[in-house]
Amino acid sequence: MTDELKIGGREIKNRFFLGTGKFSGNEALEKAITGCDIDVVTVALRRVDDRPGAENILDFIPKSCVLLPNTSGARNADEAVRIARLAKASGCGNWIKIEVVSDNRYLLPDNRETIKATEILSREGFVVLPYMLPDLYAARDLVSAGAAAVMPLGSPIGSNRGLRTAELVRILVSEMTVPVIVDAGIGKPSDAAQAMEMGCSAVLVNTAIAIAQNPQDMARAFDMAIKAGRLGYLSGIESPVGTGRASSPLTGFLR
Amino acid sequence: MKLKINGKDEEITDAKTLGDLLRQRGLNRPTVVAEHNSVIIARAALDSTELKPGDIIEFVSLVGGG
Amino acid sequence: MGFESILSKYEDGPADIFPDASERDVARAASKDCPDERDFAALLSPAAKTMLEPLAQKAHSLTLRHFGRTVLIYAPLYLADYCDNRCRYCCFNGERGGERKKLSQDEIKRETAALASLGIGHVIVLTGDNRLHTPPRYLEDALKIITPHFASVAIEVPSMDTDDYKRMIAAGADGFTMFQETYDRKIYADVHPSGPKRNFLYRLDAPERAATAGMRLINIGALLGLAPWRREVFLTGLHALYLQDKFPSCDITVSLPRLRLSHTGFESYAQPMQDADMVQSIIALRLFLPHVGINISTRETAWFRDNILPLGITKMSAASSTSVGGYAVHKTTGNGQFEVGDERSLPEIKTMLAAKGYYPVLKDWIGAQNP
Repeated sequence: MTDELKIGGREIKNRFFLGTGKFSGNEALEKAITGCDIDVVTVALRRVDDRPGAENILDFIPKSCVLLPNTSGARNADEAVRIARLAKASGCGNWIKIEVVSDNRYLLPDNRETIKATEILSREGFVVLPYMLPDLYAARDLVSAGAAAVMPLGSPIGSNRGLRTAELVRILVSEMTVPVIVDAGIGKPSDAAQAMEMGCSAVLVNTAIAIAQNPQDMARAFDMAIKAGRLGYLSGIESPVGTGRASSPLTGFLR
Repeated sequence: MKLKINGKDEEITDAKTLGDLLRQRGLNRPTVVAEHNSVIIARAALDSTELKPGDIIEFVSLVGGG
Repeated sequence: MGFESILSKYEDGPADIFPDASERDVARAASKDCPDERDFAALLSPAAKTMLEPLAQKAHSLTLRHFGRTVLIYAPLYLADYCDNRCRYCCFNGERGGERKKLSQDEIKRETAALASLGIGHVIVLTGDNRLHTPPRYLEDALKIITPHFASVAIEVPSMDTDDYKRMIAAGADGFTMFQETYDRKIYADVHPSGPKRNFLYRLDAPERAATAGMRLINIGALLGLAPWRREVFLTGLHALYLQDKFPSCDITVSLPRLRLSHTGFESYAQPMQDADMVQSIIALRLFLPHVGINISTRETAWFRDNILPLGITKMSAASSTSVGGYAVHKTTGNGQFEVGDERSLPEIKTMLAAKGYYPVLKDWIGAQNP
């Protein structure tokens, strides 16, 4: 039996999704992607840099990768929808990561605006992966609105504090019928492994790799951790079921 | 004429269409998307989109992001 | 749609669902925070029988965490035993001779007063299946008399349409109990040779209709002993999960009524359910459905009920009479629907619970009609 991850009708071969922001340079990014056979790569949309000789990031991302543009910069649903449409017009496919942040202090996603944007964009045929604050009700609404997956944050963007929201993500993993992909805040390979052991379908990592001394090696470490976590989950993580004798046996009366 | 391009007011004298503007700036590549007064303009329509004073134009493209 | 689409997936497989489960399957199932169906089947499997003690400890811990130390007390109130069904296992079987009774409005008032004076706050009202003597209108009128005196009133009556359930709710009922008897269609057809109850699917969908109508408390179960128990308990668990998912605002509980053969003389197809099987069922249900209450009636003996409490019991009946008018009107006569195994009075049950560190809850929900 194969361990398949299917999103938007496409089979995703690597559960390690890579973000491309904050890298020291495009070469470092390219090495990280090819070194790990990354399948899904996020990008952003910005006003184009018209300096002569400006590099086009797409030249450094293998054509076989799935591009996942995000709507970073959007402060409400309308802005997210606009960015999504622009991204689609650039010819990179119909996947979109909805990221609506109106709080500039913690950069927390606005679930309500995200749900609105999800509804509009999924009707337009986008494969929508919304970045969200882990909330079961919001997650259900996102799925009803047409989301192909949900992307709960592990901890605030860039904080690299790991899986602070583990308990809430665990609930989503139990209840969601779509893939749960942890995004934001994953700081160490062990954080990624933890997310996968819990049953998450994939992990999106950006900052931790981009700012590492050696991004290519760090990416490989994450790649291994994510595969290890997934294998551990599939094999059934066991904790001992009652070792030692309890002070009062509960089934002794049967004898 | 005065146009707003990527958020900045600019005085443009030698471009009549969006296509002209793109070529002038070396942005005539498939991954650049042009938005003219909040409407996304398909590549095929760039040369037929005339510029008028007060137009708001955005040129966007994919860059690195998380 | 309905639960049948889930039920049909398991109708052709082994009666023990997961007979080859290994001890490792069981350990894995028990270690998960959210066991799935396969895990549930493993917990019910023969392999789990040798691991009951550590599983019981987890069941106990889960019960404490989700329900605390409270146990809800309730009592049944039989209004009538006229019945057109011929359920082969039941004492109210229409073919059995003997006097049939039906409480008049006045008698209902007396029974209600007697039960309320005992201190009971939660009541389950029962009738047999007879459209002539006890149509929905009869029950509706009875509920109007009964419900103002109790915190919560459930009905365990023949299957009804959604609209009729709405009428019962308007009359003050807030709970619904229905035992599928067996999830095995062939055995169901065999033990229900005639009468309206013969319609398997109509009964199967009754909990959904009741929940849709607005019943807040939904209690289901199978009569254990009619069919091989593992599949029955497995499907009960899946039925409870299905209802819980579909009606998140409802309180789903599960009962484990065990068939008492001596009382009816009925010979069942399945082996009688052993005490250890009951224990395993309670534990497995608790681990699979940590938020679903488990109900144990006075079918069981005092000794057994006292011992299974810590495994996950959250609701128990007390001071029960299972015959019509058994609290006041026909106190000295009558064959009950089943033989009562635990005849303790409410004060005795309360004393036992207190001694075991439990808090008996007599009034869990103050109905809108209460003064």
